[in-house]
Amino acid sequence: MLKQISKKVIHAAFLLLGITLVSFTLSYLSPGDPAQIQLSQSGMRVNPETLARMQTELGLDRPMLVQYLSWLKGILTGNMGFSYKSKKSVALLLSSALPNTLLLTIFSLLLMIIISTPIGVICAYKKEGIFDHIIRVLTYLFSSLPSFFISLVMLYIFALQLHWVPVLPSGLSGIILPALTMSLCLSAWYIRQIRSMILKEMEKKYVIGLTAKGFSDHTILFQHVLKNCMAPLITLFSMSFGSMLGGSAIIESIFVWNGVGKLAVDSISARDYPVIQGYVVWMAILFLLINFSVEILCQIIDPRIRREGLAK
Amino acid sequence: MSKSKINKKLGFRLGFLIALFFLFFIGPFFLPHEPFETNISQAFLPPSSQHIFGTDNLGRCIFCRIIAGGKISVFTSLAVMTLSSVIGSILGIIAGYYGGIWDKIISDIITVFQAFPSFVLAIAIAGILGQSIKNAIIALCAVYWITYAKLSRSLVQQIRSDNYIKAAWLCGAPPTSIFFKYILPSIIGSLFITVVLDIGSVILSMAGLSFLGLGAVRPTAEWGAVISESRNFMQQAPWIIGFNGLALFLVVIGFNLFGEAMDEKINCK
Repeated sequence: MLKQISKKVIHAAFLLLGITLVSFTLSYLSPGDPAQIQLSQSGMRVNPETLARMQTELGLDRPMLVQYLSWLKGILTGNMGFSYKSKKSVALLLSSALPNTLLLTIFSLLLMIIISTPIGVICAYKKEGIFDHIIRVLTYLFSSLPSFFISLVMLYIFALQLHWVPVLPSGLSGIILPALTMSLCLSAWYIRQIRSMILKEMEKKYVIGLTAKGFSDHTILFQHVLKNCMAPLITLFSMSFGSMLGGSAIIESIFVWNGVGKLAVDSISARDYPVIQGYVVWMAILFLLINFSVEILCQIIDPRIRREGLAK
Repeated sequence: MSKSKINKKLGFRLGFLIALFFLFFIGPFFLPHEPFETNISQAFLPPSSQHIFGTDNLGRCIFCRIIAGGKISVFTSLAVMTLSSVIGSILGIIAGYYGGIWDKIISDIITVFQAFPSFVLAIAIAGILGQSIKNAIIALCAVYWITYAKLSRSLVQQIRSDNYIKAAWLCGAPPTSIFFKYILPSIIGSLFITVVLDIGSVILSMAGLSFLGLGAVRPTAEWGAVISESRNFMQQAPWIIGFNGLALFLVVIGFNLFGEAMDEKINCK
């Protein structure tokens, strides 16, 4: 067990190094010179002298590896540099926006599970029935529409036409539309996944055995098949968490929800590189943490995976 | 499902895609109005017989702009698919065939890229490189190559120890001929089907980047960008967003349904 954990920790450290290296290299790819951007944003005149002074101040005259190491040291101590635009610390900006994104993501995820699980189960249970066909058409529709289009349609219907919600969100009620949009976009995919997962599980031999023993379809589905689908489903949910973190950039900026996604999009239009860099690193680390905890969760709920892990 | 039924389905869906291609690549030469010509006196006209999809805030014909913009969406997505599948497969094949240190290096790179939530990485790359179609293509390639590298690596690992590859190697065939004559033909089917199934999602991601202002530059009529620009007129002219969304939907569902039919055909064998 100890060996397994230490292996995981080494793997995580390697991934962190990789993530930070990729994120740092990104700023090297940028066509703009950070010193120049910072100077022109602070309204100072850019001449070779001030530019050189700024470059020294920002440490841009040092070799790349040295710059990377000092940046990495900053990340590990919680200092990710300062925003060019607001002059605030990147860590502060991200940590004040992150709770909003997490709230939105978790709320959407729960909503998605509530929507897609029963529908997926019914579709599998009443395979090729009318309900299954209608849902199939609907899932095709939603999975072929971009999330920003669905967002705008929702905004148009519920805010502009029906006036059920304000266009600009105020407080917690503002979470309803973005969360509903996000969960609908994902549900389309999940309903099909859950349906096919259950149908595949139903073909297994233990199901035939249970049927032969005289158990009803109902009992087999709810007491055996669904239980066995739990672990792969939870793994899928955790992967969606990552895609939701990315997708939140679009949804947050449409619904003016002040999360990290909106912060990133705003920073991109202001060419605020330190914030973008911080955003990528934080999202990757968050994603890593979620995957890690889900792996442990799956070991807890599914004894087969636990035994497999120990056998390694 | 019977074979002939699947073939019929595939043919019908392929026909739909070909029709779309004709519309977007030849259609622009036969437009009733100039897609980039502004005429303020004609602004915000609802759909009518003269402008079947209505006009936008600058009086431009929306139908003409949708036809003119289709090329960009389809072409950029195909470019992303081609580039990422070629680069990803080459790396995956090298990792799978040579193994050892090559496999270690390439697998490590894949693991690191996979650690990023995909759209986050795309936004960051496109955002840092700056707004242009080329940069959006680079950003999406950085995300999509992983799928092909992983897939081709595992496919090659499976067939590497097969007798016919060993026989070719024993007969002294050079690596390039083993690669082109034996490895590539046996994995290209699976790679191709994955490409087709992924195109829809690439088109959506590309439109998403453009919507965020990270793709096509004005005044191009790229659908995602047009929808983003028209957000402010949603109350006055909902048809602008509606028809552009419909166009995106038709292309994406066209590719998705075609991919599904291809998948069925291959699995039916």
